Amino acid sequence: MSEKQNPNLLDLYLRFRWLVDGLKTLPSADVLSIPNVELLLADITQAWKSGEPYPINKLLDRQEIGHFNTVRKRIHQLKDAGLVELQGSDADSRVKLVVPTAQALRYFEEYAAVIRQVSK
Amino acid sequence: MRSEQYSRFVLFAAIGAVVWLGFLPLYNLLFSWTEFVPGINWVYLPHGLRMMLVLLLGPAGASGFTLGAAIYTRFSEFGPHIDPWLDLTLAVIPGLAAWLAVMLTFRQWPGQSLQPLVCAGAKALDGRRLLLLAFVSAILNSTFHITARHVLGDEVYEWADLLIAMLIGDLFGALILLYTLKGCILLFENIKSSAMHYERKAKSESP
Repeated sequence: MSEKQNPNLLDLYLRFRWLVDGLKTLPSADVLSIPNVELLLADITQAWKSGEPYPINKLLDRQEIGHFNTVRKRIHQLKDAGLVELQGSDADSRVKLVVPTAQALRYFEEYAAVIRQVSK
Repeated sequence: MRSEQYSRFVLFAAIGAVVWLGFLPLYNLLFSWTEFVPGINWVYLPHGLRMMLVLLLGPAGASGFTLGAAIYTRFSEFGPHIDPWLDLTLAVIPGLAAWLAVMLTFRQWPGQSLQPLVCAGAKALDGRRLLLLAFVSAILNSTFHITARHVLGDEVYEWADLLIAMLIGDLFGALILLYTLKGCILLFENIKSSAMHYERKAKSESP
């Protein structure tokens, strides 16, 4: 049985998808001002510094940081803000590692400088 | 206009009118407490809907909600008391303002033509530009609307008072609607990915 496609409905759907994708890019508040995000970034950076960066699955399963959905959303917010990136593991290309970017390292350097200045 | 394009225009305009006629009574029911004076609210969510209809359906969408607004006012409690010319002008202005605002803020968008989107080569919609559109269309719509009410009707309120109330109402209404929709989209995606995650986990744990 052959069904004739309605080009108008197909076009409407594509236009709707375009709008939905656009709505997702509406600007949000500064990502580091969201509770626990800075802590998550510090955790990711610390793990990376110790030579064992977190695989994304392992990070998502850490219930003490937050619910799976919350952690996933925060990781994506950090990624969108350019503070973390997802890298393929050398051992298994299916595993994605969450690593801090140069921007995140600069942020912590500045933070450390401020603490040093205050403690003088 | 070819018959294909004509039928597409009619379909899009009909969708615009139906969406408007469906949304406006619901909005009036839930947000009647935000009314400043008849026709002007401190939070006007339908302004966000107008923007989206013009972005999606272009002039056909604008014509659709113009038609919807004209029909709605005719059958509302103000219908018999309002001058038909003023009613028509006030129905046309939002469509015109939204269309003009989109023309000013976007170079290319799906609603620009009646051609199918796949051929239009539309780029991804930028969220910041969407916010700019909310601001520009609120300014244009409120200025044109209040001026028309003063010129064509016997308005008793101050021009500036009405303008400020309507500008705030349109802008905040659009922002609230846009961010509510963004929240709903993200929530839906979270639920979907959460279900997928647990399904995968259950599969990997099963012997």
